[in-house]
Amino acid sequence: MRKTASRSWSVLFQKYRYLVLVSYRRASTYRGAYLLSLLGNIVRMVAFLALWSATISTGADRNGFSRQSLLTYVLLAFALDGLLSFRTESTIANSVRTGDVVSDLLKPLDHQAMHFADALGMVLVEGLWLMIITAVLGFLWIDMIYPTDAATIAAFLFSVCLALIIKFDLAYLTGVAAFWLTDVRGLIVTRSTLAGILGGAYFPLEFLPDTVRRVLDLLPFAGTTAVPARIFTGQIAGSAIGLALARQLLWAVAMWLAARFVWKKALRKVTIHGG
Amino acid sequence: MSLILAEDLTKVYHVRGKPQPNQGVWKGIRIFSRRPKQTILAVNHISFQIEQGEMVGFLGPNGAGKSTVVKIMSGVLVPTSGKVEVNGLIPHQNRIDHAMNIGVVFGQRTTLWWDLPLRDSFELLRVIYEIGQEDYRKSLDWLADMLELGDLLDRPVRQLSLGQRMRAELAAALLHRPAVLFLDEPTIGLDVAIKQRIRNSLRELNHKWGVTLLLTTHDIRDIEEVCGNLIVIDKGQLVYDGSLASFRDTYCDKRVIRVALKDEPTAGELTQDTLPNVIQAERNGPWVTLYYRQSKTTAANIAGYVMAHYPVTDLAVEEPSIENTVADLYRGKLL
Repeated sequence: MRKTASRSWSVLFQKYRYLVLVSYRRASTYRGAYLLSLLGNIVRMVAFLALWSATISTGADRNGFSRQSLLTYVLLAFALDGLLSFRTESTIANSVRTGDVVSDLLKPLDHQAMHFADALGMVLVEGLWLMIITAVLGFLWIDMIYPTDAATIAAFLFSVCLALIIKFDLAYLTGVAAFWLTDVRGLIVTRSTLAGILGGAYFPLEFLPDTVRRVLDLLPFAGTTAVPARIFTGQIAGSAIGLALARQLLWAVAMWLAARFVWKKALRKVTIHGG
Repeated sequence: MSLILAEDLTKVYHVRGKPQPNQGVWKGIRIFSRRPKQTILAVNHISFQIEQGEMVGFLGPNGAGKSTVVKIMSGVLVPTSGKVEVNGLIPHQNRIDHAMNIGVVFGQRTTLWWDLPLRDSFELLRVIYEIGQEDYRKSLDWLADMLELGDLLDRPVRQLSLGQRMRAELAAALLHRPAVLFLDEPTIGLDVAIKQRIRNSLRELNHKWGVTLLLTTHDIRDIEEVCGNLIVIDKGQLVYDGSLASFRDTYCDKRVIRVALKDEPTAGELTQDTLPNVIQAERNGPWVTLYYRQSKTTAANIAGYVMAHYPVTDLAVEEPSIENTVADLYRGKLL
């Protein structure tokens, strides 16, 4: 009698939801370690904000930003950049390097979905803390602006979800590159820096020449940070929101499929290390 | 139909070799030299069949290709050519469904979650493998009892000793009651008592659940105590496939008898003497080791002859050692 894995969406949903939960619990176990790394982030965040608020004059209108909306953008972009950090790619890359990827492959789970569930569990922990820190800095220091109507808030949250998918797939692709590269540390740093700059995590893309900005808006990176941050600050409003979300959704689907394709390719040539 | 089927199974690895030496300073720097591509034939046209409920030992020297075969069988590696079928499925083409029906233990890796208590790891496996609550409880009770896991269930996996972890791994691989169990060096690094525990459990498992077992090991006793059949591979090629009994008869034909004589000169005389059916004699002090073929004569015949003609003070008949035979086989003495 042969068993087959269930194809029912509800069973699959349950399985992966459980994985998210377990990952959340595992991540919370190392609260101390995480808080320490968060402390470093807070210091950078404060330094960044201080720099920006010192260099821009009150009331000046810079590339469509008021002082308030610019500081809000910087703060929010920083928080979004902190979500879904290095863990996905280093976990996958390490599992390939040591050969432990075998353990992943022995389970009746989709490799990509399994690691996505793992990343989401971590995001729940990171997200909670980042939200608290952003709110504290935002309200006590820079007098942050925020959306008040339900539609914009919903659009922002949806945009964050899409951003997580795109970010995850970028990270997943970087991790899977370990099948070809053995040591991907350089690639991980390059990936995160490039995605940060091109995605508008370090400064608003509006500060770049118009043509450059328009090209960047078409790339997937903008969907990781700039789009949700712009929706939050009101740079994208009204009917433009629909278009921005559609573009982001398209990238989320395309990146998911691309990552899948590369993983399948990697499996065919896989050399499992360590005998 | 056989439960496990391999036909002309072949796996070729492509690796980049080292840069050629002595090509000057610039060539020595990696980015300036293209390292030649090398192909390694890890599994070379292997064919075998395993029936339902069989327990097969998979033997071969380091690097013979055992692990590669196990990985192909478990759907982790894609073979370069040839056919493989387990339980009616082609493993690498139906990896997820296939995984529902097999259990795999790698002695050198962990499939458990390092930072979760064992009980939570098992609970997670219950969800992943879609095991019903009732079945889960029954399997867990039985496995925890057989593998003596009772006290360990609430400890995180990272705190378990190697022996405890291996028993936990075995239980984890069996919770979903797989039809086939692949074990890759499950007793590596374990003490005698735990090895014994694991071997007993494997036998019980086969008896109770009818699990088909493929076990690679370097410990011949694993095979002697658990497996009825034996597959030996070397350099990616099949060297032997058959029952353990016929392996013993075929390859362990050369037996040994040791006799101690009253002094060394007499021992020397015995070494020089031509004894009936003795193919070789070696002296070490007063002890003489006599080799003979089991198929030609018996230990009693030789002992009787020697005792009738020489002053023997002590005598020992040695058990045929599969270990020595396998070592000979690896060194290519037998084939």
